[in-house]
Amino acid sequence: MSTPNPRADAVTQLLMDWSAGDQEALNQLMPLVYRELRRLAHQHLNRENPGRTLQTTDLVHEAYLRLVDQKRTRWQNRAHFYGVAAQLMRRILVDRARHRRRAKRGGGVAMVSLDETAVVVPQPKVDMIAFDEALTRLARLDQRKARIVELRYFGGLSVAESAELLKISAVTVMRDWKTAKAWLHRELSDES
Amino acid sequence: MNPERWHKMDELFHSALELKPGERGVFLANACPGDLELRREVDSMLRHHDLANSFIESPVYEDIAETILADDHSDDLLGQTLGQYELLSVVGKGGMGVVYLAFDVELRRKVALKFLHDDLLGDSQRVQRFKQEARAASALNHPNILTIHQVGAVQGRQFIATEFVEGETLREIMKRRRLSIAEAVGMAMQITPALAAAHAADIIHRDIKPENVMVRTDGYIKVLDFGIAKLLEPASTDSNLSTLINTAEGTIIGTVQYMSPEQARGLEVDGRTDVWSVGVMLYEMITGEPPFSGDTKSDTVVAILEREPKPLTKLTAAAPAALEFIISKALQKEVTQRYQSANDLLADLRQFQEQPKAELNEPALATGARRLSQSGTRQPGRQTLAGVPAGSTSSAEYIVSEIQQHKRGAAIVLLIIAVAVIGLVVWLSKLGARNQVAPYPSTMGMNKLTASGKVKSAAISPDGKYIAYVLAEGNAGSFWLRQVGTTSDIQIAPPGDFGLLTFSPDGSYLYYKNFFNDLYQIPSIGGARKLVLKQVDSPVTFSPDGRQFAFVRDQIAGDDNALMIANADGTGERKLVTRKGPEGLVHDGPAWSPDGRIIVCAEGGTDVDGDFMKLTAFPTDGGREESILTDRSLGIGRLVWLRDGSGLVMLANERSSQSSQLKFISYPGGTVRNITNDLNGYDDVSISADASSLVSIQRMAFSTVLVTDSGDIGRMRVVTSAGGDYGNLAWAADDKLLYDSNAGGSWDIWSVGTKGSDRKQLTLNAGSNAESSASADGRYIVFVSNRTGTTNLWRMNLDGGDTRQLTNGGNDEFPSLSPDSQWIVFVRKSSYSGKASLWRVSINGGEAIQLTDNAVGRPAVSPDGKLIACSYQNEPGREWRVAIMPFSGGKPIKLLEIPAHPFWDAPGVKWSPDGRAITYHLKRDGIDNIWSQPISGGNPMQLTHFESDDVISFAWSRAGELAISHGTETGDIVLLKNFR
Repeated sequence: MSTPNPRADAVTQLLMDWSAGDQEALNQLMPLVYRELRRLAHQHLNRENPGRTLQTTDLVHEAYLRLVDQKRTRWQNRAHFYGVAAQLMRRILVDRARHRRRAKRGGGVAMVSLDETAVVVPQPKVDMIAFDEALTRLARLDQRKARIVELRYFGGLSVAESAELLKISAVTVMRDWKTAKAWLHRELSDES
Repeated sequence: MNPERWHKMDELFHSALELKPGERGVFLANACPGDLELRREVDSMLRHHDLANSFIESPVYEDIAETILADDHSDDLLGQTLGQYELLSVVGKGGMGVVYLAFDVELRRKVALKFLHDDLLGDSQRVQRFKQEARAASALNHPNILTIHQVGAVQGRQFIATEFVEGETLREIMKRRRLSIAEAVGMAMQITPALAAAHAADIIHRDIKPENVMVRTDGYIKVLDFGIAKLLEPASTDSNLSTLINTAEGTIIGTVQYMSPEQARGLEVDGRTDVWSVGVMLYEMITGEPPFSGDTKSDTVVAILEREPKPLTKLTAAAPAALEFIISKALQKEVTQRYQSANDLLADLRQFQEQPKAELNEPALATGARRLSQSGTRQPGRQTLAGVPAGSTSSAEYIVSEIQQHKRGAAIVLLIIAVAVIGLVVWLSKLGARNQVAPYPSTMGMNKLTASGKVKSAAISPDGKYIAYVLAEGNAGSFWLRQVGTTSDIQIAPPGDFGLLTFSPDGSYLYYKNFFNDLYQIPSIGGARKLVLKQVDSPVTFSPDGRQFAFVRDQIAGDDNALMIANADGTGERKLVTRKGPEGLVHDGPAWSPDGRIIVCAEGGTDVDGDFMKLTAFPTDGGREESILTDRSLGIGRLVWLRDGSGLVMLANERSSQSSQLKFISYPGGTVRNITNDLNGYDDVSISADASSLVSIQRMAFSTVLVTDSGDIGRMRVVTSAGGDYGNLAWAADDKLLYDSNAGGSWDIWSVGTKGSDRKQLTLNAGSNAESSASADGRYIVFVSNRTGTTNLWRMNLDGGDTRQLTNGGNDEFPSLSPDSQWIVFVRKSSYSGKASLWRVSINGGEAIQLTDNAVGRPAVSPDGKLIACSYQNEPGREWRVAIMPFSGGKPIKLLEIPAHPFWDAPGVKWSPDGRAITYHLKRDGIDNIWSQPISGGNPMQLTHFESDDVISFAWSRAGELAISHGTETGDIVLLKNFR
């Protein structure tokens, strides 16, 4: 039994409402999950061994455990939760990237760097904003493939989990994934 | 591209992928005759398929984690001129803050400018102490100490300006290569005089480590950051190990490897602490590995306190015995056995450097020593060491003086050295062996086995020898096994989606369910996991013979949930009992009795008097259910039987406290007794078969109330801090705060002076009490209480007396008082729809008046009493905004673009003291801070600069001071012995 979270009641109700088709509940749910995911992400990133792999799935899992009053929950739609979490993750990260880009643009400062001591600030491996835009374009071409990318990349779901969630076979997920990956890679390269 | 073409491209792409690269060209030429464009499209897809490799193969978090970590806005200051310093570049970032290379415009020189983290500045006393230390350090004039030019503050940020040294830290050098013995000793001989000079001025470094030793390009050493470590120490003087570690885990202290035992214990330290740290560095420089280390900080601390390092010669064959002696003397855990000053250490190092090594490292001597120790001679090591005076004379001086006194008696000298070396070897090996044994007391008690704060789940094996646990560290679910009584942990499975763990009765397997409620089995010693069964909605419990397990499953048909039984391999599942309706069997898991006859599970229920929980025994033969316990005040969670069948241990929380405790319930009889009853929460419970050991997860919350000093947000200081959660915060007077705390076991209202004095509990033994605010006339405190069973507004005098109920809506909360002390604006939730709307009621109670029909969050009445601000939804489905509306209610006169949400934004919005802005809390990158949005428009401004934890609540005084409650939560394994 997790230590009850004062917000658990509210989230549980929202999740139930939303699973019953209430879109308003989703609107209310987003910021709640958002807050929790960020709190967890920060915690995870602050661990002693930053070299270890961070599992997005587990992050989401933990958020779910904290947010949802499990005693009250009768629902099976954990898959839906993953779905929304993946969407949220995407939104959060793209927002962050936009924010960072704005911050950078404002500066315009010449960096004076000393070779001996310069600190290398890691750059993201993937340009979030460009990636988001490409993924949106992909969704217009092929909704399902874009969804799979969202689930796998932003939600951290495995092929099997994505398959279960989308009620399609793992083979189909893998096939879609290959196409989406190659297509997105091309979109993000200079050549397209 | 139209859908048809896209589909065609996709088909061709996959068909081509199945072919060998060489065959693809021909295939495509045939497949798309005349359609060059399609062919090009597929070609480029194939090319990118090959190029993509690891692209987006790992989840996004792994791609951006580092970026987020680095995103500390330190670049924002570049190019700015602060005071006389022009910030040129960031040269380093650490736990303490950011270091910039800056140019001192006045004195025309380069300086290093270190800004301290705002977190470190919360306690003004601490800042004061730091300044004193830094100033004292700046008075130190020693060639091996980095010169401090200035200690000051600019724009509310504390900084230190020091000379800028071109070179690298000792850490960077050590990362590259192992140092020769001569080099290492040479380094230590530059560090120790710096320490000796500082100690003479009563300045203790406290954080000597390779990162704080700068090696100039010419080899000259500068020791950095004198006295700064003091700033990092816990504020309280009664700090024990756990608070120290928690502080460390929390945010600040980076490495514990160089910490002395007395430091790790949180005791007072003196110069001998720095001597220890030099010993650690010497050892590491020579052997290439630190003498004390562990997988986690807590393990390292245990090593520091309990273990002896590997003998130097084991790692570096060439290490002379005399050097081993010096290092081991610097690393004596007992301070009185250690070198008593940096000068003593320096003297021995000097002797060592000057003495021809052969003389001290006589081959005959070394082998003789080894032979003796191997032949099993039990030389009492400590005695031998004690034979060397532990006073202020250094041991080498002693030995040398012996040599001088007994010029003829070389044999005696050799004997002394031999005895010392033998003693050391025996003693080291003895201590090494001793530490394989458990340090547990045999008496009853609770031992905390981890201190990382990151344990999610833990289970003790039936034989009581192992604890399997899931660590949310770096990865959210790594799976570890620890042999009870040791501190060595083995990772038995790569990171995965591990949930609550259950050992099979023979201990050979662990069962857990993942997020999708799939039950997996994994060998306890590690190995491949196996899917056992799907749709398992609770942890499992095994029949005594281990052949079957029971669990709870939801929604098997409509609203039902059921207690299920299945064979250990997942086959043959069957329903034992079904429940209907919104209540039902809890998900924390049933417990199968040791005689195999019944399965006990907690379930919820409702009757005319409200909700209750009960424990029910379900006979496995389908016989009549038996109620063991019905309780209206307890929430019951996970259950485990004692193997003798005399009762169960359960996790349960009193409704008023919200934190789970371990309780024992007898069977039959159903008498409940507390096992734990403290301020922490407990998760997860398992018991060894002989019932001697119980393992649980202890959750600790830490909260702090901070206030600004003279309105300066850059200078927040701690008013009070404690375990437990804090809730709402409010000002009762210019020098008095009200806050909710569950530190007393239930939610109650407390008051405290802003200087931390006069702490007083205002409500007691009356349900949960929270959300207090004081009337401006100083007469009343209005608060929310559920003491009658439903949630309503109440009032009491400032001293806690004369309590009176003001509303009876049953779901009334979030009171905000008008400045004339006449009205209370609050939120009333409909018990039907759950919709929250705004109401107001007189300070004397009576009929409440509805102010708005829209959905709202926590309200705040403006300082002039004319307006109300709250999060607000124009109509269902629309986004939440912050609305400003007339005090009389009705439609908003303004909607502000503030990310608002009644649930998400738990502390609510607050008016700035001048009534011109709305202040609110906002989480960015996982950290809560407070922002301000001018009502007239313009950009929001960040007011606080916290770098960790959550803002639980905040409040402005009329005088413009800001109070914030701030908190975080940890989870660690505890082992309970003799808990019955």
